[in-house]
Parts: sequence; structure tokens; C-alpha cells
Amino acid sequence: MTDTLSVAPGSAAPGAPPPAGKPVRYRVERDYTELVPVHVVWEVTLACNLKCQHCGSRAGRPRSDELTTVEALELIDHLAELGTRELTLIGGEAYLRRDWIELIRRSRDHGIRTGIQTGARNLTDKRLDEAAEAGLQGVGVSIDGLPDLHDRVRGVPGSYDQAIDALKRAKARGMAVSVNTQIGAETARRLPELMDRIIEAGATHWQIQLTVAMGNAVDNPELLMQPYQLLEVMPLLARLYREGEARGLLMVVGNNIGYFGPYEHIWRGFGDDTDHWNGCSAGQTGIGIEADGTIKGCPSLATSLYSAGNVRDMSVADIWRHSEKMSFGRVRDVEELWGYCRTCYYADVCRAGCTWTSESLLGKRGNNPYCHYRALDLAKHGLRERVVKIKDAPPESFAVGEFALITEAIPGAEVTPLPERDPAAVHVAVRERSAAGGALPPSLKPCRACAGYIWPHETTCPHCDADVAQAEAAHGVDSERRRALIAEATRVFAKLGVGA
Amino acid sequence: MSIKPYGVAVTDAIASGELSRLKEAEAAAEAHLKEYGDIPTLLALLKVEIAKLEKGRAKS
Repeated sequence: MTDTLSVAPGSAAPGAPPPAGKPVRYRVERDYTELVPVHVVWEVTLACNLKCQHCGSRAGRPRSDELTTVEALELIDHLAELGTRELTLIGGEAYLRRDWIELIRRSRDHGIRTGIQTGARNLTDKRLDEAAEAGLQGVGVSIDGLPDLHDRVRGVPGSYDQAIDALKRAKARGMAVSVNTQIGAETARRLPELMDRIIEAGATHWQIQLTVAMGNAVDNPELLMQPYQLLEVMPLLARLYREGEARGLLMVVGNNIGYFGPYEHIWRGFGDDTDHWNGCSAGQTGIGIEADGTIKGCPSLATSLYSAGNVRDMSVADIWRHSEKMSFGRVRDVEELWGYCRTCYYADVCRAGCTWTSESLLGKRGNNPYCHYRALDLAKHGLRERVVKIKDAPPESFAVGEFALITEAIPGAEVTPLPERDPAAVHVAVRERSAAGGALPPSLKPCRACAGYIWPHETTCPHCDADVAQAEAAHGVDSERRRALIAEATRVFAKLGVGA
Repeated sequence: MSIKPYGVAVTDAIASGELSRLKEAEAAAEAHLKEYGDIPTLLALLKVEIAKLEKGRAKS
């Protein structure tokens, strides 16, 4: 069965602000159909003052041919013309590039929301003052655990303390402060205390992602979480999400955490359950830039496989619109999926989750064992998956090795075979391609009986067997009652002058 | 439709949905009670005591 997706008339023009209450990075329909690179992540230099054991780009020394100031400023102008609304500067370490303040200022002159993601070693007051004066809006600090683990993984003693201190000092300058944390094999048990500490330091947003098998992480495979550990990690994240929300910290799960398990309704829309994972957006609404001007659909993708061109050879607009290496996400379909993902209920909307994660791990995109839905399904049959390195990665930036995926019995569990699933039975949503070459990703709806996501045509929930219409009607009644209560509370508090 | 959680965290995102709004209202109500006390309960107790006194006077 198929359904057709078309562009709703009157949706926002490219470059237009998102709907009220939504972040600028929120993508509307026209962003897909008109190919707007909403969010750009730019490795402005490969120079770095940390020695991270999981660094995918193997940062340290600057590239020999990094863009000049003139080239970099011109690139920002071109991105603004394409409609970019948010720019994240990364490295290496972005502020080790001497003209980083100029880049921030130019980006802000275009009205682009601008932030940096940093390890924060030697992020001095002077640097912060200059960045604040130039208009930097957000500082995201990478913290991978408590001091023992963080300093070991980041390769520099004292780096945890510097990271926490930088958070506080950026906060004091009025910037939005957030933390990015990579989850590896040792991280999960430290997360609750880490959350306490970053709240204390003033963070308001906490992005969580899994460490990916790329670059230095391939050299240190013991850092990687095993796929079956999602069974413990995901409920923990859901608990911390709720606790954090009550304490003023909003958890943001990264692109490589998901997909469509029991917590999907909270991850993507921060409580708005109409939002859900809708596939890798590399080359559809996002661009990644390497310091030498190489353009990719996502900054993390392997350079050898996804380099779409260089701004020294052609314009970023031409690379963005016409390069085959850029457009893979716009034209791919379920036929390229394999393994479990090929016959999964969510195959056509999920597309095996994060391309970077799956391809770096298994050498070919389209099958992703780091999936909660999949881990839960396997566990029902007494099975689990783990990965084992079988090939090292070469020394280059963004290099990948190879891992074997092993399916095995859960110790002590009774094993029952997985049912045979027909690839032809997978639901495919027909996408109408716009003149620009973009297309909308499919939309699912939550089953109001079990909260699992289902295709719009379903009349009986494939997860819980509920009558979908009946559950929606009951939910509508409940929702109306809740909305009335919220409206009454708002009215009362407004009269009392109390914020709600 | 959705956001792209990559690079720096989406620091202009806010929690939304009915649950968040109900929790906000709950927090505001609790803050109000902490500041001003539970007026409905106070009022009920006042009424009870007034009624008791008025009943006693009516007997005398």
C-alpha cells in the first residue's frame, strides 16, 4: 500500500522563520521541497587542543589548505542566500582559527543563528567576550561523563573542570549554554550525576548521542556501546528527560538515537507527539563543511564516500543542488536497505536511522543495529546484537573501519525464531518530487492506545491491535478536557498575576 | 515537521505539548499556594468555625 505526499500550499518560503514557538532549526515542508540548507555545521579548522579517543575527524593539526578568511566569509554569504537559518561552528576547536570572530560576525550580520560546539579547553574570558560582542548566541560544551571518564576520553587532565567552568562563564555573558554528551560503553551509569552537575553549571539543553565507530573510535572500540545496551540506556534517558524537564534542562536526543521505540513521542517534538524521526536529513536540509571547503550532506559522513565537491571548484549552491553525493538522501528508497531494516514496519520513514552511524559501522548504509525498536523486538525472541571490530580504520580524518554484526542469544533467555517478513509487504509512501528535486518525508501518527507510531492508513494498530479510530476518539475527548483545564488555569493565573 | 539535532544543541527549543503545559500550571499553582496559602481550605475552615459559633449563640 502507498500514500502520496504533496506540498501544502502557503507553507513558509525558503529562509522564512519557522512557526511561532519552534526553533529556527525546525524544518517546514518548503525546506524539503525547495532544498533549503536550514542548518549548517562547519568544521572551520581541524586544529584542536584535546586528544579525544573517539574523535571521528582525528583532529589535532590544522589542515594544510584550510579556507582563507576571504573564502570563508564569502561562503557564509552564499549560505545566507540559500536560506540557511542556523550555523554551528565546530573543529577541531573553532576558536583556534584566528578569524573565528569575523566568521561569527558575518553570520550574525545575515541574521543566522550562530553557535559553537567546543571542548572548551582554554576558552578564555577574552575569547568569550569577543565572541559575545560579535553576536555568538550559543555555546555547546562537550562533556562525556564525570571527571575521571571525561578526562580520560578527552585525553587531557583537567579538561572536565575547564568545560564546566566555560559553561558558567558563557552563561554569565548571556549566551545559551548547552552540553553535548556522547554515550559510550562506560557512560550510562554516570549520566544521572552528570545531569546534576550540568544543571548546577547553568546548562538549559543537553544533547545526547552515541559514540560512532569512526576515526579514533575505531582505534578504541572498547569505547563503543553495544547495540543491546539500548535496552537499559533508553529507559534511563527517558527518565532523565522527565527529571531534566522539571528542573529546567531539556534533553535533545541526537540523530543517532532512536528509533520508534516506546519513547519516540517525547524525543523529537519535546512533547509535541506529531513530530517523530523521519529519516537522515543529510543533503536534504543540512550541509556539513570541512575546513578545506569540502562540502558534504552531513559533517560526520566519511569524506571518501560523501565528498560532494569543494567551494574552491564550484559554488556551494551548485554543489548543494546538483551533486550526486549530496542528493543521495533525496532519492534513496527502501530497496537500498538491508538486514533487519529492510523489512521493518518503519523502513520507509526511518531509512535505517543515522547514515553516519550505520555506514561507519558496517561499511554500507541501510542497516542500523543501534535502534531501540529493533533491540526490543529481538529481545522478545531472546536475541540481541553486538558488534566486533574486524578491520582498522586508515589514519585519515573521517576514516572508517569495519565491524561484524553478531546476533546471539541473550544469556538465560529462551530463543524463538524471528518471523519471516516479506520485503514486498513493506509500506512505501510515494513522494512527489518538487521541481527543485526535494521531497517531503512521510508522516506517521501516534496510536492513541499504545503511543507507538503507525502509518496513516492503519485502521487497527499493528502494535497493540487497538481500533485506531476508537482510540483517537477517546483521546480527542481527553485532550479537549485537558485543553479546557489548561485554559482555565491560564485564565486564573493571569488574573492573579502568576506565571504559568 | 522536525528538527535536526546535530552540532550544537537546539538551544531555542522549548518543551511543548499538553503534559508540559499541565506541569507548568501545576508548578504555578504550587508556587501560588506556597506564597499565599490554601485560600479555599482556609475559607472552608473559617465557615466551619463561624457556623459553630453562630450555632452556640443561637442556643444561649
